[in-house]
Amino acid sequence: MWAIIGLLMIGGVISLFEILPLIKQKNWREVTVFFILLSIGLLLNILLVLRIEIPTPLDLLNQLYKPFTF
Amino acid sequence: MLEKGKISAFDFQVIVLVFTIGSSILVGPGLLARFAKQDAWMASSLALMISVSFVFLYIRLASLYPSLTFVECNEKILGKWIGNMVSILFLSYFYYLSSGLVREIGDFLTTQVLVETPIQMIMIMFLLISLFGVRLGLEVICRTAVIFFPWIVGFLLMWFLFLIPEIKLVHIQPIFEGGIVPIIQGSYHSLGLPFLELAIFLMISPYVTEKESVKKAFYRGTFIGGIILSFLVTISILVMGAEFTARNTYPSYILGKKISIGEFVQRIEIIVAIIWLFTIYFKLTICYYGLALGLAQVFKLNNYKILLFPLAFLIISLALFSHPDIVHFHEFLDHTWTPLSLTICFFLPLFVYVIGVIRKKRAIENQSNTENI
Amino acid sequence: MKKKWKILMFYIVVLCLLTGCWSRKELNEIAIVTALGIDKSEDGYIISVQIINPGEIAGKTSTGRTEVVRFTANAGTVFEALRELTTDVPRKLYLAHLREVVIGEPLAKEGIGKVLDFLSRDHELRTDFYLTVAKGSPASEILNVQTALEKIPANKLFSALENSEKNWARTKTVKLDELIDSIVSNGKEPVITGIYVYGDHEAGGDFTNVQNVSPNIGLRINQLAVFKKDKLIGWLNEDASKGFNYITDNIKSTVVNVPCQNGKVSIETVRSKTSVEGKIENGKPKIHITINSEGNIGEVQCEIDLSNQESLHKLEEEYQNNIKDKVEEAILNVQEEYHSDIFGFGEVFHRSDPKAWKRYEQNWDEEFSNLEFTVQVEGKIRRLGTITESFQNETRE
Repeated sequence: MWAIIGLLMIGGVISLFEILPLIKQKNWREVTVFFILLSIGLLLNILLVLRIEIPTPLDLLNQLYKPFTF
Repeated sequence: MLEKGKISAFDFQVIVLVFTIGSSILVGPGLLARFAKQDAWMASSLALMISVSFVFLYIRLASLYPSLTFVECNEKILGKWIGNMVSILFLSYFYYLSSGLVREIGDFLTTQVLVETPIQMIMIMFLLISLFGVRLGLEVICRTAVIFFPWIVGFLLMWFLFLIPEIKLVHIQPIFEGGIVPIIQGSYHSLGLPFLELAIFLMISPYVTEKESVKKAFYRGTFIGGIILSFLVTISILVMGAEFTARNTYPSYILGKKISIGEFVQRIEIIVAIIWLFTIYFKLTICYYGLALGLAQVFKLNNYKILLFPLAFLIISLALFSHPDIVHFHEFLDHTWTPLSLTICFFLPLFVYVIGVIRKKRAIENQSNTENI
Repeated sequence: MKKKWKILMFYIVVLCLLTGCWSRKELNEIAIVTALGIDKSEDGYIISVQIINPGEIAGKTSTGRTEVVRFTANAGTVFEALRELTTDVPRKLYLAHLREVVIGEPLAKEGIGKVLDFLSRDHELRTDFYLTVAKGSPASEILNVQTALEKIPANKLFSALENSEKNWARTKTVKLDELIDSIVSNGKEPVITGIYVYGDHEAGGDFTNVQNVSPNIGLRINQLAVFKKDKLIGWLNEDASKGFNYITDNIKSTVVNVPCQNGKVSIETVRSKTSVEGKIENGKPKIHITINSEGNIGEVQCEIDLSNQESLHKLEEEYQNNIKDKVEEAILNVQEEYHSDIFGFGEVFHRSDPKAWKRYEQNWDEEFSNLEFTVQVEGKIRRLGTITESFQNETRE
């Protein structure tokens, strides 16, 4: 629980520092990309903290490249 | 222009060299010895020779549009949609590479040096320093590399010199025992680690001021780095034998442990770790930088720096969940990494290059046609 | 105001990062293990460790306590036993300064492979310690002996092993990577130097032992244990051990006694170089051993005219024969009794003729037992020492 709050707080502080000047300059494109990436990143980290298993994308690659390995 | 920094050809050469040594200094010898046994040194040299062709391709591609990064090239050559898709594919490779490097640092430090420290802590610390570097821009990264370069070389030299008394020539005999097949196998696997990863320099080469000497710097950096790697593989096998090298997860660290000059100069294996931390730091920073810059160019942002923190979260999480355990990691490196690198860092740029050449030719023809009319 | 907040934030972040020394271990919290003994028990291993008592070694005033302490534990695996020791040892064991690993003979006979895995897997252990086999007594007893002159018995063993290899040439130092290499290799079998307790076994742990001018008990290294894969199958006698070192080119200096008239002459070997070649002759593997040895006269105990080159040549001949005999004896002995290629002849073939080696690899033990060999020794006596003629010619009438 604390870890999640900590993560969200770090996320909040970082956005505060990064985003405020951008909003002032009305750089909406940057703000959107920033928030999308940040929320995916935070989500993944929260899942990790909660010990929810995230399927690794590399297994897919392993399957895909199986015929080409020697 | 997102990046206003300019670097000289020498800076470029140093950063290529350091990048090539990168993480391979630690995992390379084990990987090669597993496939090619005592002929690993030949496999390594063969890989170096083949890799020159990759560098050739990258240089040709970069000289199509000398002032554009790979991502911008893609858009110019392939159009908005396909171009951006290719760019995203390219960037996700380096997204994984960054997280893989972070994971490697974490795994190494928690196995050998800081056993009780949580791996997350090590990863976060390392990535933060890297983030700091990337935020300061390309110029700072390269200058720092130039500053640390003499240290890396000095430590390497010292390390090799101290190992000379431990060398036993019988370890590399018989030469060519298994024939050519294991050598090719070994060199195939060291293509992905590190030579194909050099594709990231397509993101950096436009910022080199001396356009003519870029080529030379690229070749020279790769070549010297590759030679250092081959040398390292050779010395690992000469000192420890192929079997022992192959069985160890981090052979070069064990190699450091073997140094003992008259019971006086000994227990300096941490020097190896220092070399490695330097080189992998620059490798990580370059990947991270390329990733952020590329992403900003794909989304047409006018500042790549705001992407760094979100990317840090993404890299850390991928580093943690991509491999459930170290066996999975090694299996991935042994089996999937090289073909994956070949697709993303060889066939993809080749494809872009071929289309680019055709387009350019057509443009010239059209131009001359219109002139004729 | 806003700037101050920013600075404060910065400090907080930095403080979080500077926790440092996460899992530090101070010198007074660790127990430095210098020797590790491994014996077999009914359902696992008996581990004994020799821990140094830093206060006693480095301190200016000694409190009369022993310099080293031995602890033992019994558990299913080596790792478990080492952890179980925490119930006895007040500090955390620190293995990076390990100098000596002693393996009990019964365990060695059963196979040491399983034990070696831990030694090469654990991150604290380095590869610069020597391995030995305890002969006649359990390894725990070896670690229970106080040694005179050298305060730490493990150090005594370490230097004794190095010195006797260099100057006596009947023992061999074996490090972990070399040992594993020869266990894994098909064309080479390992040897390990033996070590035994002499004197009054009861007196070993007694501190008063080292207060005697001539200690009642001590540790001595001698003989080489012959292994097949990871199992001990027997011991080489002293001469064969020396022959072994000649064949494997592991002679730095040694003493050779040769007969002369009615006494003996000791020759100090100062330089020796062996080359082993393998050839397939008439479809059979054959080994050629060439030894180049150089010596000086170390001691003369007979009436011999050393000013005469003729007599020197005679000595040289004897010198060569002596070496040749030992080498041949060593090979024949091992071929007949142990069928285990400790000399690495298989590796010689492996290196020189990999294709032929593939044929012999599977039943190399058998091939080795019937292997033909030739030994060629070139011995030279270069110098006579600081005097020329022995004065013994004058003392006798």
